[in-house]
Amino acid sequence: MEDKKRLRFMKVFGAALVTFIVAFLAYIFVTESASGFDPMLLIILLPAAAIIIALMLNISRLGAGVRSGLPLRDEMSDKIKNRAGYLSLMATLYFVLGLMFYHGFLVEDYGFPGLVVRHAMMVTLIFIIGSFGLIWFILNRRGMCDE
Amino acid sequence: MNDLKWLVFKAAMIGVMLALLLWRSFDQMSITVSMSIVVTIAAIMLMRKKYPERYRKDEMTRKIGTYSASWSWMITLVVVTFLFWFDYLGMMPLSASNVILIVFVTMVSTVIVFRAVLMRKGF
Repeated sequence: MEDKKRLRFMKVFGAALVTFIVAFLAYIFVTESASGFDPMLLIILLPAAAIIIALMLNISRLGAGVRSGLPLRDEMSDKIKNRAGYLSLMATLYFVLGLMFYHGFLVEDYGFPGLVVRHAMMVTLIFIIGSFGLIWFILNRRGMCDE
Repeated sequence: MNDLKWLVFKAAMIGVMLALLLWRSFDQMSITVSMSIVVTIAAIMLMRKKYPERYRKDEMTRKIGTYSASWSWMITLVVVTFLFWFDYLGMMPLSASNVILIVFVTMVSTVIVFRAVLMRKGF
């Protein structure tokens, strides 16, 4: 019963998230379409679509598991999530250091193309979410052993 | 062996960063910053050698480290999302260096704070 309630909450939360992402994309398209198509929008659109698809697949997989009597969360899944968060934070830290290097040396000293603030934030956001998703997927497939 | 590899990697990264800093501007400020970093690292190494039991990792400290990093990841995600919206709606004028610095400081400071809190509170 507890798992079913939690799954229902996840479905509601997932639906709210998908609505938010779609509304956000619609807002961007409406406001940006006046100034012509920006290829950067594709970089936003593709990961957003990937997030929505991954979310729907995950919820349907969890639903099938709960219906067949499997627990929604166990110790291992919590451990995998935390480990993925830790590794993703480390990866993001090095990514931000790389951005610092690019902005501080290559742009300012060698005239490389500068970073647009919105694009830098979007790329960072996508990296944070994408690295977590990728690491979680790999750990989930491969399993984890205690170190 | 794995720890040694990481140590060499981190030392190489810090060395490259210091070399770039000094190469870019060999002035009093850069030399002071570089010296401070070197002295801080030397102090940490000395403390580790003198009090190895304080820095020994066990299952609990690993768990605390993982949880604090995981929560820090969540906070960073929220902060970057808010920054994006502030910038998009024109509520806060930001430059690329500001954004990078805010994200970096958020990540590092939240990990340190969460770790200290969990260490004090227990788990």
